[in-house]
Amino acid sequence: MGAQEKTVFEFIERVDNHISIDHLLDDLLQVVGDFGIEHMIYTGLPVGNNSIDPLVKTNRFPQEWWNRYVELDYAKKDAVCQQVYSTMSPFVWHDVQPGFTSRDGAARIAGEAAEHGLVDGYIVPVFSRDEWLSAISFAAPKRLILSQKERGALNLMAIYTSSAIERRQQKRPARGKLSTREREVLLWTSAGKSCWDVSVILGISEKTVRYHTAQIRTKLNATNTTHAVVRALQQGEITLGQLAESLGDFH
Amino acid sequence: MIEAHVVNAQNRHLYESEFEEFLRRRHDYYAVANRWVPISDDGLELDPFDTAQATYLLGMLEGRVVTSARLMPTTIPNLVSEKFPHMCENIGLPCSPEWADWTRTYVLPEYRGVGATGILGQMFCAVMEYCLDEGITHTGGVLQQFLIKRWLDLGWKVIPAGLPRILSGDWCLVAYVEVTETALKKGRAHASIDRPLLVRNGTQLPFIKPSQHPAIEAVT
Repeated sequence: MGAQEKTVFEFIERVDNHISIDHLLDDLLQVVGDFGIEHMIYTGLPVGNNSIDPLVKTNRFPQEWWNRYVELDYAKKDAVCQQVYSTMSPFVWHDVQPGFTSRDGAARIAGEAAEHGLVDGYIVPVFSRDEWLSAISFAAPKRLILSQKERGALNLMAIYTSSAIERRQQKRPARGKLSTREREVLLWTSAGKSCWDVSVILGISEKTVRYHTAQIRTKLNATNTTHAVVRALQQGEITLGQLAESLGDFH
Repeated sequence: MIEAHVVNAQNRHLYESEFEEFLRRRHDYYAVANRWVPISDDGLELDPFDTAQATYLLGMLEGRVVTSARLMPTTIPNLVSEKFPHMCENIGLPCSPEWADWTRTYVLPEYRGVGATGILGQMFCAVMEYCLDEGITHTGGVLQQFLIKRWLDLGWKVIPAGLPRILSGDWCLVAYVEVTETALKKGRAHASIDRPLLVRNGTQLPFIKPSQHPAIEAVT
């Protein structure tokens, strides 16, 4: 067994022993540094018109690039991200299929990524612990030449790391189950109802509605209503069926 | 919730129709749908490892075999030792009465739900329960790489025997889970299982032959 493989298996052995997710990511980036990789992100993939931002579990991409990616909603046109919707096979960014790279805007996004130091990368699709389509994406400042063995090693490290991250995040005490009333408030709010509307519908005071929305955001660790809805869906607090019903699409 | 019936060479006569159904569905999946093995004339799928030494867990729900597992000692020829010994560069080829080769776990497509509470999670816990009962310390084999995330997500300790490689177009690896009370407890909590799933009818055979049991060896 070569030195590089030994390093990989040693990383796998200590993946659950780090004192924090940040330490785990430091360790991972150190090990994958030998493969030419400098950055990584672990994120869920958005459905429909939702933003990718609330689905990010851990992020070690350059901040400036990621802000731009989120602000301009690049996930919808980024060829690498789009290909993950059609395959669970890991792939090198530069091997992304022409069907995705030729789409409007895709080439510009790849060019801008390169300007930010993300010239190439390797992406490993996984299902999150709650069965949400997700991926670990590794980024490199140069074109990546990866042997099959190195790809296997990256797959293995990505899978162990993603599971370790999720199990750690699950343990956060801030997370609590929504009450029935909180769920109702969330569903009405997601349907575009104001706090006053919801107060009338549910026969409670507007102040109580505001209290509930604040509680929901805290429990789901969300920054706004859209974020809260996505997190609630992810964590199974509400279902797509309920959401569709509250939006009036369900008959 | 499934019932996982333990089937071996001694009690198989109690499960004739279920066992045939299992082999037929296995054929549909391994031969017809995935072309991993040749199509057989009788529509049943058997391989060289379906011997008297194999133990099967048939996951029954609503009177049907909806999922399954096959376990055998790693001390006799098994799928990993015969086909994939080169995929164990990390820990070497397992060969111990307490390490079980685990194969043939799949879920009928119509019973494949999403979520940790699905049939697959139940079968994983049934295998863990059986291994604990029988004194097995590790179980695993060759599997698609995304499946080890399911094991890890249950909170199980998973040992990769080697790096993933592409087999018939899929990234696969050889990996083993550690069998412990904690693993069973965590697995059950994650899969929302509140009771044992194993059912034992008729004559039972110990997975580890008494002559191979380390504790008994020490006495003699």
